[in-house]
Amino acid sequence: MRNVSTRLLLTCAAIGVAGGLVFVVSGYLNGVMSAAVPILYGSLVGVYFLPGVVSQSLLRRGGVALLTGLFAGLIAAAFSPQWFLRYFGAGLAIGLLQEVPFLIGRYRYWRGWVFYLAAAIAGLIFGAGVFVAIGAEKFEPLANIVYFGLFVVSPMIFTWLGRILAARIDKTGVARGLQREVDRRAPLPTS
Amino acid sequence: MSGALDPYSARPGVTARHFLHWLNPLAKIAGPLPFMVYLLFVRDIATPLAFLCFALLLITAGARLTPRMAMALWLGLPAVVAVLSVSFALWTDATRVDDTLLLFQIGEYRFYLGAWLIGLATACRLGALLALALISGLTMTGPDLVRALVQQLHVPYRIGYTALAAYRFVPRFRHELGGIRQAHRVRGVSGGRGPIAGLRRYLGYVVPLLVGAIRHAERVALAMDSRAFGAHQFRTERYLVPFRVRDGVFIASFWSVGAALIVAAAQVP
Amino acid sequence: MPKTDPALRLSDLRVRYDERTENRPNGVSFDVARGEVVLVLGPSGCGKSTLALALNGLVPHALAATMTGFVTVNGIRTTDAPVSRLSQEVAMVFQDPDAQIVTGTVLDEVCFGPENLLLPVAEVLERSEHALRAVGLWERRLDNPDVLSGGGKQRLAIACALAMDTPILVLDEPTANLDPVGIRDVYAVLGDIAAAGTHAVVLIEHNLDAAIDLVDRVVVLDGDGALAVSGPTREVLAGSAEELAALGVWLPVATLAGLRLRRGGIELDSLPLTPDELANMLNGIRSLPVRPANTPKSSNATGDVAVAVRNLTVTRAKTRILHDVSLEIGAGDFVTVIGANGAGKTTLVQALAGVVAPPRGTVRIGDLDPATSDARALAEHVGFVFQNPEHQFLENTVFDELAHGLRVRRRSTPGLSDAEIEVRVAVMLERFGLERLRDAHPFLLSGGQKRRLSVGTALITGAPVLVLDEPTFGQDRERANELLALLSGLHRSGTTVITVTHDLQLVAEYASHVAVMHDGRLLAFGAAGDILGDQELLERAGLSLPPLARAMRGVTSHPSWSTLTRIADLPESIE
Repeated sequence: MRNVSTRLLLTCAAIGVAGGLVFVVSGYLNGVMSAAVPILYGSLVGVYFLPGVVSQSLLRRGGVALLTGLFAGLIAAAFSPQWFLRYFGAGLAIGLLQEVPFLIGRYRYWRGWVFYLAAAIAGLIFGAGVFVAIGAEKFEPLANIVYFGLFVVSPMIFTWLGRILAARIDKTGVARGLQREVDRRAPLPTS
Repeated sequence: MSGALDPYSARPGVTARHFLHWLNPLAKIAGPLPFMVYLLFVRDIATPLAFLCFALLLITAGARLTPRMAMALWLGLPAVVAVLSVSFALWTDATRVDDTLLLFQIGEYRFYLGAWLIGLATACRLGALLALALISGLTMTGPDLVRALVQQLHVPYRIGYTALAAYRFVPRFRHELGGIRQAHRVRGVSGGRGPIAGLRRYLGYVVPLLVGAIRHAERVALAMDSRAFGAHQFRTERYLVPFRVRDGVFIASFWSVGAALIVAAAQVP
Repeated sequence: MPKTDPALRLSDLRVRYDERTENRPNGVSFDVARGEVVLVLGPSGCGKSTLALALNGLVPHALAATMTGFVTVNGIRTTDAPVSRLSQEVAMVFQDPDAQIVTGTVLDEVCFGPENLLLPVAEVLERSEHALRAVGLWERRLDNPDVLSGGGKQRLAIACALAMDTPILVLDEPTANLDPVGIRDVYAVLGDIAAAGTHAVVLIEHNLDAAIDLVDRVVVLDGDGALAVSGPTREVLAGSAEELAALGVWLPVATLAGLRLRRGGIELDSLPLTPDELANMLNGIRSLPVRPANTPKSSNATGDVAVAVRNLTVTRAKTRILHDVSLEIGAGDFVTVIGANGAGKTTLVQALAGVVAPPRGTVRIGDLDPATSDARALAEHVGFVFQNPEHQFLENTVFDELAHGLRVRRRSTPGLSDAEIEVRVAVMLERFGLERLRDAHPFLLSGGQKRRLSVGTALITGAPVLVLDEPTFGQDRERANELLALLSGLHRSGTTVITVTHDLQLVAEYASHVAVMHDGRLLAFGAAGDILGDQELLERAGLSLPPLARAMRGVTSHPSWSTLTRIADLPESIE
């Protein structure tokens, strides 16, 4: 904690606040949608990936997805206290999941494909949890394919969106001084 | 609306009777949490229904509710559960329930009682989960939760206070977004109509919004550093959100009642 | 520690941010003793703010930069201690009041610093009460800081700095974002602090007319960030006035007026620093040339009406913001809307530019009613520049930003080809000095360039009327002056310019007409010279006379001079 600068914390908070507000909006949309067509529940699950994707693509530092997800969850929870556990839990859980693939690369490798692979896997894990919660085993098989498919597709779409956003923010130069390289692996020893 | 946008705004009308407001936020989460996990795995109707009613009664007894909120709880929530029960039923695999009573038929589609009961079980579970979450959700503030996270769960205070500072960003975001939308509208929007153009337009709002927010965050960070933020491993807390005997009593009683409800619901055939 | 150590010492300080190639500041040395107030001046971009950030170690600890030379605070080198330690020696007040607030109440805010120092609760509260009383906010301790005015928030920031109980206080442009009332309140507090002599104060401020009374010494940086002049206030400002003006450093209005009078051949023993001194000096001169009455700066030869407002009332959220406003703005006029905060200035200009649709039939821009026209038609009649230029940028390059308005228009009425757009954008780039930046990202421009680009985007569709909402907000005098000179050029070439500005001396220099707003009503509308010299009227609107008008009202022995408001109206040569 000591080596995390206040500026980095507050920057994650700023992205988290924006993410939290998106959570709230999507929460309302999702409420309507899951009442009408429950199998489409997964289509908006990707929004929970946005804060982490933006902060990771922009800053390329370890821990930022977890921090941003935490802040996003806290902010969304302050807005819609009734959904406190959902926002807080989702923000934290997805933030943690988003850290894993980059932690494996010791936070030195931040190419795009890692983001998409991570989103797909995390979507599956998250989807499995919700699958149990609403008891989807009793749905029609076709419905299950749609249902599960969305949990994988939606995070990837929102990852794509988040990366576009991060790239545009990057161009404005606002994150200079906080960012790390896309690829910081030690160069292979050449013979 | 502006009150909802400001997590710091005081909640008027909370008196001694509204005991839920006087509990530690963590106690209000720790009480219902095990049962929320349990509810994920039950498939009957009685258990979630029992928890739904219990949570509603507890909230009505111990939380400060406006008439509108009370209406939403007692009329709105059951209505949502009813709607959900039907829509979940529509997607239920009909081959599993075609031995139950046929309620109605539209063309080739047959709606069986068994399907509705499965839908109702799912809807009740979701309703109960929501109601249990409302116990803490309706009776605590974001800042208090952050303080409890720092004071009881030992989340580093620099993260906690960053979250508190972040709450202040919200009204600012709203103000900035208003300005950006106005400015973009005046300049005329390119890209025409349709969902793709709409998406492009929103991305256009988000970039200046986030850039402004990140710059603002940087300035706030400098101001906080200038005021010795992070000087020591701890900081003086003037607002204690203590974990008292009554919080322990609340958790223990909640768990007892919950356990009793599970046992009782199991007796229902 | 040797007794002779000053509270603050800078020695050959040079700072280079990691992404820059040059040092700003570049070799600055001075000392500040306790009880002393030192004002740091310099043209835009000379590194004044960086210097401030170096005083409590934010540079280089929190911001990536290379620093050579050294800064010591009470004998501690800033490079040897973390910012949290240095914050017990140096307290900071920054420009943006909103960016310094972290908590939910005024009291919590002041307690934030002492709490970080792990002081016992009793001492936290004692310090906070003391600090809040010093700035007059104790009674408001339970309020949410958001409900304070800009000046109130900045006084809160000062209280937060006082609560750190440091021997050194650094203020970086503390009044740049404030209205005249806020500026006055903040300087009342700073005056008390200076009088108490408890702090070594470093002040960075471009509003010299407000600051001059409490400053003991002045340090001037040149455009390259090197130390240019340093010494007692009068010696530097009056003694080196010519040199400072040549550097692009802003001077007190009275001093500028004195320089102009000297050039005009009027003998002054020394240059004045304050309006009172100027008045006294002029009263001491036996004969001055008789001034003709104020000539209205109107270039409205045709008598055409550019914007007509009739019985405009705006109500938002059940609050009446504008109340029955009627006025006619002539084509080619340069109109400034003035008034205290909350008087309805922004709402007025937004309504008459159609940014917020006014009620039908209350506003006409040329032959257009903004209430019933779409954004494209409106863009051909009126251009609007928002307070924050970044809000209105839509594209990824300067070129596309300028071309945007033309491309949007092309969709409804086909006409302009790519080649024509190219030509018109090129003309605009040249006009605003942005040619070399055509492929740059708009957000990467400097503050002044962003502002010029936003004016360019508003004008590219050929609108004859340009409306700007507080275009000088948060900018130093040099940038503000540069912008108004640009607007003045547009005005001369026939554009009708309507703006909101707080700086009344700038208004006096550039505007042809002034509209005074108060509590949502139009108090007065007329020629700039008449209105800015009317003390009674301005006070009714919660404003005060601009510095030159204040000085001239005191010139009792030369009646024809007493209504002067513009430096440009002072004689440049004696006939």
